[in-house]
Amino acid sequence: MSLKFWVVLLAWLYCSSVSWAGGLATPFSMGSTVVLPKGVRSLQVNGLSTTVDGWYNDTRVDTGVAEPFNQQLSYGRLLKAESDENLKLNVEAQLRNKGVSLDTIAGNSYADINTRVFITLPALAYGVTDRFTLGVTVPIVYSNIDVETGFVGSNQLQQLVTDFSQKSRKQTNAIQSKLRDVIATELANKGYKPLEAQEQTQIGDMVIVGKYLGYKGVDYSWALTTTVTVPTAHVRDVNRVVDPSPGDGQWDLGLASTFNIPLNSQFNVVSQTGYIVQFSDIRETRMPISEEERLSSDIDYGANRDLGDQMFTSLGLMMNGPSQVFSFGGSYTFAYKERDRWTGVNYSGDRYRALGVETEQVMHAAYLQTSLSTINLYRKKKFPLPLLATLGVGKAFAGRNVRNDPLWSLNMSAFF
Amino acid sequence: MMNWNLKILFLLFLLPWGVINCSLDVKKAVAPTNPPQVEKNIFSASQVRGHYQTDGSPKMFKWPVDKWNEDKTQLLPMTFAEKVQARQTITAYSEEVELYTQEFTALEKEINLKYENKLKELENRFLTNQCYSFCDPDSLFCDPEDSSVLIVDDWKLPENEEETLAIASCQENQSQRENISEDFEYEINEKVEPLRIKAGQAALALLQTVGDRNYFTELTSFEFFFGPYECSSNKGCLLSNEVESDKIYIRLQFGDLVLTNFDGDSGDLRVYDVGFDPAQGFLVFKTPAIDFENSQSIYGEITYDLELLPGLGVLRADGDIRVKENEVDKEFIGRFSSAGILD
Repeated sequence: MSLKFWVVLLAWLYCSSVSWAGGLATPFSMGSTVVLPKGVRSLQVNGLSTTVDGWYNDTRVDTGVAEPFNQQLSYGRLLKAESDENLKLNVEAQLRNKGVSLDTIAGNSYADINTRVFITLPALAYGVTDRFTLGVTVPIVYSNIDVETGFVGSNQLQQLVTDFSQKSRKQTNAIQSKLRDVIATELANKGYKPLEAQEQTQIGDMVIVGKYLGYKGVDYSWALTTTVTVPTAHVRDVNRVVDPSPGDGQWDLGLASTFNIPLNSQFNVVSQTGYIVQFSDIRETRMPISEEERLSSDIDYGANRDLGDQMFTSLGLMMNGPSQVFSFGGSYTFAYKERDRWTGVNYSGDRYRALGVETEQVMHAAYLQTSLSTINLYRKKKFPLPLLATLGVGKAFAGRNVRNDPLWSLNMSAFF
Repeated sequence: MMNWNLKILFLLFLLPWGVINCSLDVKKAVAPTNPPQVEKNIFSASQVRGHYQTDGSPKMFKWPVDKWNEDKTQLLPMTFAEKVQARQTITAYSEEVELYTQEFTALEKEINLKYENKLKELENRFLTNQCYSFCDPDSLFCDPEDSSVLIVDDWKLPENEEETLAIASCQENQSQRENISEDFEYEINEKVEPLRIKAGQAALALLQTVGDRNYFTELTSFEFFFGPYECSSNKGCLLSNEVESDKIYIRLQFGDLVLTNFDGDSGDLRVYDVGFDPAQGFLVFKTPAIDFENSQSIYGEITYDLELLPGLGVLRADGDIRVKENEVDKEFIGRFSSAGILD
């Protein structure tokens, strides 16, 4: 288990809710084959709102995001995290003299991490032709993280500290301050910035979307959507274990095919299948010591990174209400992301491979939405503006290495 | 119609959206914590006020970081595990020395007290009965008027029955005291000496583990003066009414070489950068590093990072030393420990 889970998790959330870049995220729309008529412009504002508290881990178990921090720590593990060699040698020698095995549990570390995320997605679209619409969006990501860490020492550890304090108050004070917050101590010893509450608003990766309506008939319509993710966002600080960066720093190219099949005047089946290529790049990264020990003071400033490609497919049903003012819909999404691959020359291959551990993702998610459209009313001159509002909620209900908190979304579109 | 739709829009979308967002505020993070606590108030500045002097030589050495190869021609760097093993052994020997020293000191004190009282009582009786006056006047060492004499070698011949009884009582007294002295010696030899030998053996083993190259054998004395003192290089240390606040003065002796921070001391061979935290008993100071094999050539700096640990009748000054050796551009960490008394 590793602290990197959390980082990856956050990266997935912040990067992919918008662009599907980096990792899988809960769906927040059903897709459609609709394009804008030639010369018509559209301004959309999407709001995405969620908390990040739980996720499905590598063994598909629903667990808290801070779970990797909650560990039983042995004396050996505590000493391994210590960077002051003199203190380490002294304490280890003292423990051996007292017959205390380094494998004995000294205590438990605990953490609680709560995150609130709100993403605003202003998007502009333009009907280049009657069949091709071009759009662009730049997300604005607000995140608020509250973090608390703690350590509960064993009775034996308290006894040892009491014994040591009789011999050396100075050294015991140093030990006590390090044991006060073992997570903070380990991070500091390895050169990470402190794990602390953060509230920030950042610009995310820009996404350019081109949608081509390939066919529109009575029996079905089909559209092909291409997305290009431009790495405009701040990328994760390599010195932070938890950094809610809204981008992963590399380009993505996505292609999605969408079918809309009307069953009757009320019901439509919407099906979407897509593939996203995440291009490789050169990136600085912390080098885990092993798969089990992810925190490390080693940094490779020029590692080759290839984030795994993603594929997804969804099947949904839309029901149009009277006069096509209201509509309701629901869909099921299956998504898969390949394992990330890292290579480099500065460290052993095992350490680069460890970076990719637990980055393969599988997600089964459900999405429900309700929409209100004034487009038909506008066409009948019964409403002054063509507006579309959609309120939706998506949630992963099973999977591997994906977060599972509900993602609420509100889309407001105006056409002019 | 328009207003009706706007109300719907607001109620069905914006209002729930607002409710959802308000309910999703970030929760306060909470994690259990109960780290080990250090016992407080175990030190008081009044426990270290006065003149401290080591009882015996302080121990000062660098932790071993290298070891001899098999034919003892080359020093090889130790691994981390070897360094741990060395410190473990040294710490164990150090604790052994301390334990045995404490034991034999306490036992010696107890035995002394036990026999001293009996002896004192008999000596008082010997003097009260004026036993010294019953010495043989013909004896060379006899002085019947000398009341400081506690051992009479030759007794005079009694002149009457009363004197016979008095001399017999005095002889009995002297004999009892001789027996007590023998018992005392016996008990010391049987009980204290084995502990003293064990302490000596542990000290020797400690020295061998540390290695000659790491041990500061020249350090023979450590003193400090804390209080209203005035210490100068020419007058020594004196208590003074003119000193407004407590001062700290240090004196270290390496063989014939004395290093102090006394007023008027100047030059390279002195104690400097002295810092004392009386609330905690933490004492920090520096001296130049001295190569004793090459007389007084200075090749670096030693930082002493000590803490004062009051005990039963003993005040310890223990801590780390950091020896910076300019010639090899390296810093070595070591240990300083001393036991002494305040007067």
